[in-house]
Amino acid sequence: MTSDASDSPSSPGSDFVRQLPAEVGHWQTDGLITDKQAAAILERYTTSEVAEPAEPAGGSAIGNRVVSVIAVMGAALIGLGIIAFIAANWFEIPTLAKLALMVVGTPAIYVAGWLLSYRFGYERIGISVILLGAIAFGASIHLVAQTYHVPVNHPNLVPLWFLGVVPLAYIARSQAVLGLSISLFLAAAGFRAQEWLPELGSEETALLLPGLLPLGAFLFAAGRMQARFADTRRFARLCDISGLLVVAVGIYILSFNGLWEGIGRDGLSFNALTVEYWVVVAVSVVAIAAMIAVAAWRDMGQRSGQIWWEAGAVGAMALIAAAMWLGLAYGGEWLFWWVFNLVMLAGVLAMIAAGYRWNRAWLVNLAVPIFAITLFTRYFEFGFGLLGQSVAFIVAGVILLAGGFGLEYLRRRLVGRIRREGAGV
Amino acid sequence: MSRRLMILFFAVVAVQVIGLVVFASVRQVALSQGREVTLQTVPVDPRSLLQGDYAILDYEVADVPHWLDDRPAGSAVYVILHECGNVWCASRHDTRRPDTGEVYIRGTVNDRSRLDFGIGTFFVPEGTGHIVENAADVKVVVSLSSSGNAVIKEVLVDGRPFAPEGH
Repeated sequence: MTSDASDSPSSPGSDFVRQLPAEVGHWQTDGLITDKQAAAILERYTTSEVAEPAEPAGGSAIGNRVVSVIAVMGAALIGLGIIAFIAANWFEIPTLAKLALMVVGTPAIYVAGWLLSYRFGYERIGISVILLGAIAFGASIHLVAQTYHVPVNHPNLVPLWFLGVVPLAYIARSQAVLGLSISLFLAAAGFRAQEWLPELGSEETALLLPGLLPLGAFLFAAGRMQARFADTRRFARLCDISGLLVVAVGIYILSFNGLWEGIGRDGLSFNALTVEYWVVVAVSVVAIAAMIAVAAWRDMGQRSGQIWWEAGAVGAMALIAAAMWLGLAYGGEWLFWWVFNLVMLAGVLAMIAAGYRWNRAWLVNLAVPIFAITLFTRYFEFGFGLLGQSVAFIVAGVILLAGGFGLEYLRRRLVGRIRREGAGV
Repeated sequence: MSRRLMILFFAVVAVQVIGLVVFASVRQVALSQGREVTLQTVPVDPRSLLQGDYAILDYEVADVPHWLDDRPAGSAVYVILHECGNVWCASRHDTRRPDTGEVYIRGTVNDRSRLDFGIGTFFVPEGTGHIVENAADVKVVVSLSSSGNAVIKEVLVDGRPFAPEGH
């Protein structure tokens, strides 16, 4: 390498230029540099290089991603095959043989994944095989359940699967396994819900919805805490996005006018909920507070103020949950419909503002579709009954086209600006 | 991967395998060491009898007596059983665990005001559910643990053990 290549800021490697904004964001988070220094470092490199990095020799970065995606898809397909194999409940295979197959097969898949990743250097393929092992573990749990005729909706099966898989995500440092773990975490909450409200499907089922807020806040707080540690930073965004989506889903469901009309002015009785529901909420609140405290401790001595925004977001989620419980307890027909639509709008604006403030394009990318879905839902909820169907379809189509164009234009502008100014975790 | 992480990785895999073995063993022990009783099933709505490749079973002893009508869904009820012919029938109900000398099964009140014993699902090989669905008489042999929890041991379809190839 010539001295020119190493010294000149205008000729660094393209990987370096592409990763720089994210790294600078980490340095800011860790308190290594000030905002002014971060801006100066980013300014040192031309924006064109950040926006359009040169293709590296062999296209390795994109190639690696493609390999990862294809390998994960392959693992998911094989996993589905294994689940279907078990679901077929082959009578010809003796029970013990089936059990032995899974008890031996699951660790064998893990060992293969580990060897591929850490012995033979095929890290992406190996991680996907470990993901396959995690799916096979879940299939094994359900095979045992099937063998002994344990109902498929038993509240402990998916939680067991989640508990077995989540440590592997961190040990193997695999976002795919973490993605599976988060899905299982949410599914586990869903399966446990039958213990929280014995009469699922009744009107009181709405009482479970505020529980989505502590669940989402838990994931969000986990993401914020992990962003403060080098070893777990790569998992932060997945937790953040999952958490915010769960919170958005909770608010979205309660933004329907029909739901509040159904509840009426009398509200619902909380007696239907079991103690376990409140225990889970209380444990979540304690865990959220602890994780935010850890994040604050890691930020000590910094003046970025990021932790206050994050603590504020969690506080807002707590207030929204409280509003949900109040609304469901006392009813109120139209009042809470307005409240939760306004809350959704405020949440979207807060996400866009945070995206700007902390240079996070993904927040804007998340906020805009949430806003669009809510907007179109409201249109169909109120516009469809008032207009003739043909007019409604035409108007809806025009709105979808124009709205889609407008939102995409806005999103590109926002994301472009954020990318130019650098991105954080 | 560092040595420490490698050890952790294989420790988690080992815990998963041990968990599977324990899960299967607990059920197997309950199956082999529990008190064996035969319960009569009752017909259920044919549209909901089969969901995919398992049959939904409802039991004669799952009736909730009137004096327990106000029990909320999810609460436990013990059904004390006695032999009546070739099956076991309910003799009385209790909300507390009965004396150990009696044969009883533990259930929970479900949202249809019947008792759920955790044995309402019988998995069948793909495409063989109609055998259970079309049978005139379905009895279930269960194994009862000392705490009243039940595990399905065998399903008798028209008096014979369920065997997909034999029907």
